[in-house]
Amino acid sequence: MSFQAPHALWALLGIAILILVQRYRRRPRARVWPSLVIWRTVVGEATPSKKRRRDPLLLLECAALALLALAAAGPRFDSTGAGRTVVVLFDEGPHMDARRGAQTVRQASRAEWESLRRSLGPKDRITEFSETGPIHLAATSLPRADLRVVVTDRDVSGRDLIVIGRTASGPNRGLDGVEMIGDSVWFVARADQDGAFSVSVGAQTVEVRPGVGTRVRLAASAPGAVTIRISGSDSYPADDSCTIEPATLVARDDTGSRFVRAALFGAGVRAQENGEPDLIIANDGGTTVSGLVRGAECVAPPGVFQALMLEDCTWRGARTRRGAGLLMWRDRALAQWGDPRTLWLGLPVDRDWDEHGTLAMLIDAAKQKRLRERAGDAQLSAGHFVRPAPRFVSTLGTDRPWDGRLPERGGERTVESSLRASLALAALLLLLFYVRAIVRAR
Amino acid sequence: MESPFDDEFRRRLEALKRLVARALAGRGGVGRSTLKERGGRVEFEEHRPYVAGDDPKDLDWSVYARLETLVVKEFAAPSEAHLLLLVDRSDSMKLWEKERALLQLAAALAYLGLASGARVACVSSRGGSAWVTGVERFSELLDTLTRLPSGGVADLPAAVKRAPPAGAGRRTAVLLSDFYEAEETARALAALRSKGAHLVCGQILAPEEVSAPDVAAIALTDAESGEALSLELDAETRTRFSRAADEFIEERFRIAGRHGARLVQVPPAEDLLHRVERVIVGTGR
Repeated sequence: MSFQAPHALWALLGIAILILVQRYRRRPRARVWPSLVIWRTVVGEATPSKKRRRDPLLLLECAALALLALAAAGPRFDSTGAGRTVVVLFDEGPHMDARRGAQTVRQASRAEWESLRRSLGPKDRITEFSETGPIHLAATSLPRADLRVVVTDRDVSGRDLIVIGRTASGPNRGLDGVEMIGDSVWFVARADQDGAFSVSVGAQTVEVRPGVGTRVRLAASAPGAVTIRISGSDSYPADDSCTIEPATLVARDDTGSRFVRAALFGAGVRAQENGEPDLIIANDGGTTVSGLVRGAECVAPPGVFQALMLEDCTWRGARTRRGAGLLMWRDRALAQWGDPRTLWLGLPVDRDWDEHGTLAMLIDAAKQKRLRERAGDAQLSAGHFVRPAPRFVSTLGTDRPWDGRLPERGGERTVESSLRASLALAALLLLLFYVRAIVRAR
Repeated sequence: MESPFDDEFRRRLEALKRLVARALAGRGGVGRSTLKERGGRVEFEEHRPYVAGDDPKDLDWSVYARLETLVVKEFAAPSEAHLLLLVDRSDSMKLWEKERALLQLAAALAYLGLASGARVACVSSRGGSAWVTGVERFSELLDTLTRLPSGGVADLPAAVKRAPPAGAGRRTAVLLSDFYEAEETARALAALRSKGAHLVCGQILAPEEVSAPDVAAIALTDAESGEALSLELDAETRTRFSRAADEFIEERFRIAGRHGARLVQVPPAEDLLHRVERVIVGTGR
């Protein structure tokens, strides 16, 4: 058993204090009495066992204090030895209905999970709950053994949260996307859709043309001046006739899946070591879209990540939606809003797809800082950030930023809260019993 | 211990004197404050025919109204009354102002005895006075009460032995004590009873000593013997103590009853006049 706030266990020292106080209170008070005639009668009636009995009120005090301390400490039970609790989130979004061969992604992911579950130990406890937000489960292509490595080697405890993302042939497949959230929550990064879109920047300069429903915000230009120009246009070749405006952003659907199901929310450009910028766009559907911005130019020192952001950008025929989200570069999530060193290309698009609302993938402050440092130091390796490792979590279905807590619907959190509440209630009942006993004693 | 006969005591004693004077005035008129001043005629005995020379005040006019015969009332010569005050000045009386209350009560009773013409004596187990008569000698009794040796254990039979020999007449003995020792109390009462005395026991008990103190544990020391006793005081023990105290008091009532004595309880914190009233009237329970 472990505790969320182990320092609260110091309150158990209060038991010793209670005992000392009790001993002080029970010390004999010296009194001169006119005669012991009456007292001798009393002593004659007393039985030795009654003389030595313990004070039940003290026991009540100690028990109540111990329960309060335990409740404040927030106990939770490890899976070590007794089995672990694995919490699995299932994405129930409509994009899970995408077909993948003979079955849908949802069916495939369920089947995958079933096999994974069978591989767990007999004492392992599994908490499954569905999540309609974009923390999702898709048919995972992870080898079970690999996931087990994640679960075991990284000391997944009872609070571990395994979010199995949609992984396939995209750049986010595998465990590369596993990033740590907090101390014990693991995130299997959302994976690319099968045959993911690839978006790239065709030139070093990206130009954004105003007047086409696009507003460009240059958040920062350091460490090197960035000139972004998006020029040219190319319609999105999907079968829903979706056209991205500004038209300079062209996405290619490698798989033929319906791009309309994947609303774009964010994009960024990065100057590669060879000077070629990459543009990564993430959406809130769990699909990382990489694509190509034709004619765009990005001027930045090689290896330094820069980004741009567009707000109120629309696709033709779609509602405008504010917001942006996760910027992915290859299999890494790099993004945040408002990073002064990043310039976001936001493509808030609503294609009558209101499933999730705004996605806000946020990185905590420390990660932001490190990300900036990393970007500033151009810590790149073979085209990757050495370890971007952003912490992020989705606040699903809301526009609230992540406050560092797990989603309220998390089952385990409920269990912990219930345990705490039970302990506190037990302590309260003991205190009431104690007060009643005191009153009766008087 | 400060003198029990302080200003407050004297004020209460003055009030007692006024009550006595008022009572006597109701019996004989203003100015005839003592029985002695009334010629010793204190008890009606019989009628006899009027003869010349008889005091007209002695004529019984109610008889004349009915029978038209002059008769005079004859009074018997009073027998001499004795009031013996046996006081317990042992160590057990030194707590909770019990000794002070005892001395004040004894003094007030002595005054009443003197005022009613009785012979009064005060004794304890370790000293005492001779018979004293007349209110003008009240201060002698006060001095005696003050000088009586205090401390030690209670020994009422010894006090009885120290009582001065009494002459003919009614005898009343008032014992003032907490009466913790049952056997000695019985012996003292038996001895006084054998002398034909009318017996009154004033049991001076503080409320504190018949209720267990509100502490978790107590180490007791007997004020007289020095015996020690320690015990825990839980609710059950308190209840047992309360029951034992009730039984203790009941037992003292039974002892007094067996010897023809009247026992009254006298709380030491009570007003002096109330304490006196309890002893005289017997409203001590």
